Amino acid sequence: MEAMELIKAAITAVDTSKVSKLATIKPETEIRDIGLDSVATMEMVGFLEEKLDVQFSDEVMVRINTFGDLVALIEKNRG
Amino acid sequence: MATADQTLAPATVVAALRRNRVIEDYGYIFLDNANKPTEFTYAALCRAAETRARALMGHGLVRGDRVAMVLGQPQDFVITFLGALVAGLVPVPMFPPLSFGKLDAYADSAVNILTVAGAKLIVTDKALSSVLWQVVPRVSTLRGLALVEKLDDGKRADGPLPEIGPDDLAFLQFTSGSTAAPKGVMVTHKSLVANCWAIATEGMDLTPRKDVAISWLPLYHDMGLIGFVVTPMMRGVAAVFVPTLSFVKRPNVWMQAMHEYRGTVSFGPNFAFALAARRAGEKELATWDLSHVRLIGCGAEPINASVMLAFVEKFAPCGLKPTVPMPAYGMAEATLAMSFAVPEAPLDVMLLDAETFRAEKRVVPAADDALALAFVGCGKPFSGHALGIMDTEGNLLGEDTEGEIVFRGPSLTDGYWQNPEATAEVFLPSGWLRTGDLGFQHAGNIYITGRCKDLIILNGRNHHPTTIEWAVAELDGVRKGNVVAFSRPGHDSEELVIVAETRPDPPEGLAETIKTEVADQLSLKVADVVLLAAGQLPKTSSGKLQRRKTRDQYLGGELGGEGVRTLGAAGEKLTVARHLARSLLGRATHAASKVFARPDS
Repeated sequence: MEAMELIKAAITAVDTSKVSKLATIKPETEIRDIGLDSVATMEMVGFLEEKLDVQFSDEVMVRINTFGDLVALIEKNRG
Repeated sequence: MATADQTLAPATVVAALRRNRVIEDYGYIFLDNANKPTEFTYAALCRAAETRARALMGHGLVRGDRVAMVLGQPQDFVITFLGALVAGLVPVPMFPPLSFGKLDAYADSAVNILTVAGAKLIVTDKALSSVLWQVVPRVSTLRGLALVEKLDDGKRADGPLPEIGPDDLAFLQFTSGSTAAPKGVMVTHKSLVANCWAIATEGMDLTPRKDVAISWLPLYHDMGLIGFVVTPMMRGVAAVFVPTLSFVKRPNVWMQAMHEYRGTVSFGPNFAFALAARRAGEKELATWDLSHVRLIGCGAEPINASVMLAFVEKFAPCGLKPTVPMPAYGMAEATLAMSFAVPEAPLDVMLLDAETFRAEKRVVPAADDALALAFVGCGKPFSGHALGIMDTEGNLLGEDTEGEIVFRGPSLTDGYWQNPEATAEVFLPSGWLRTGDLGFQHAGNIYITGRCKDLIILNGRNHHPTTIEWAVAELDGVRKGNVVAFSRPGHDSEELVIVAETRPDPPEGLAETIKTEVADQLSLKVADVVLLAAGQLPKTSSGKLQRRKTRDQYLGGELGGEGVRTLGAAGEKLTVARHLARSLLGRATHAASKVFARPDS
């Protein structure tokens, strides 16, 4: 699955009310703009980690702002 | 029940640590992010803490110096915390940056806490150090930053370790860093031992070699730190620590750990019960054995009886007893716990007549066809402690009347660090602590009904309404200074509501913009936005906003002036008593009948 599709699947899995916003996501969209609360955001990360079978370090996490950053992180972790 | 005899309690946390050094076959197990366990017997824990104490002293820290801790891994946190206590230092637990971005906001609040605490050193790990190095130059008392991975390999102080007494300050518990002047609660060894001994004996009835405590709670927060690091130590009980982020990312790790390590006691805020129940799948339910679980305490945010019931029903196939959820009530100023419900007993849910309660603040059981409010009982205070209800003039009220909850006893902390004004506001000369919570007592039990202060509690974290209101006030079309934020009871837990007055012809989609702005700036989800014309928000005669009145009007469907009755949250919340009783008390499972005991019925 393409990285952005995987992210959208993760958002849908943790908060179905955000489905309507998925179409508006662009690489430069900040992740915070999607309106997930902090618990749901980390749940989304957990979903991605599980699918990719990796652990993102806390250090990497705090330096990610946009969906583009997250896509790059996913692609890097897929090798 | 285990004895609450104070004469058996250790004098300090350090004394408890040393008393347990004879235990060489079990102690604390720390899981890492991959769930890999590292075990320290109580003997090893004591040795590790003494080594860490000498390492901290080797950094030139002396008794009474504040040492900030920003550590995400439980093993690093617990050993550094205990090491600091052994060295007579004052640890200042701080929250790590937890989510995407927002590094500037994180750095600002970290600087606020470090400055107020006058911290000399930050202990953190490699992963977080680059973030924390940025704050070091901004705090004049800081000498630098120490990496926990290298701490024990550096210079260590030799010579005797200090004698620690009951009146010594143990640590500073900061309740929020989001204001410019955060308050650090001064927790002494005396109050810590008084509270933890009461929790371990009366509260949880802990038995060494039988009980296993399991916690994913953040260790920079009182419930995780005091409830699960210090309390098990009082009785020499085994404990297992799961990193907080592991639970939030993968909620199943909580019950997985309860199953795997045969956990008997745990704790969580209301939202965690909902999250754990929502995420457990068929595969997990078929595998887990939770029959050994005695109690899972619920505190730190309003308790929703339906969520407790859903939790019990979800895990019934794993053998979870219906009496497992145990409401508790506490706050940092009282060290941690002020009351616990009776362990391993049915939930106490009171159904009150809604009209009488709203209009007269009096508790009258709801007749079957009357509108009812449901409140969950949080039990009685520990022996030697007292809870009371106070009116706004400072008079104590009797039972069955709503007022501010006050508390006193040996668990009271020494107030706020270097802040006598704030201390005097809530620590009254009469010995009572004003909690800022509203509630009533019935048959000696305490029921929490709301907040007198306007603090908003979402997902177990406290938020000051002003922070949220200011963010909204900046938006185009919003009348500055005319925004009110509060919480309403939601399906699972409290939800955020924003009410704002708008300028004439507000921009299109303003409600949506407000939701996005709050999510963007504060990572909070807004459940509802109400936009009003100018002059419709309730205000005092001097023009001050009235948050409670706004909330009451919202819940009553009366917001926006007379005659405009909208079916808001109140429409969902206010239910005729017999329906509420049926949904809470009378579900057709044998589990439910055991979970809920209805008082006065």
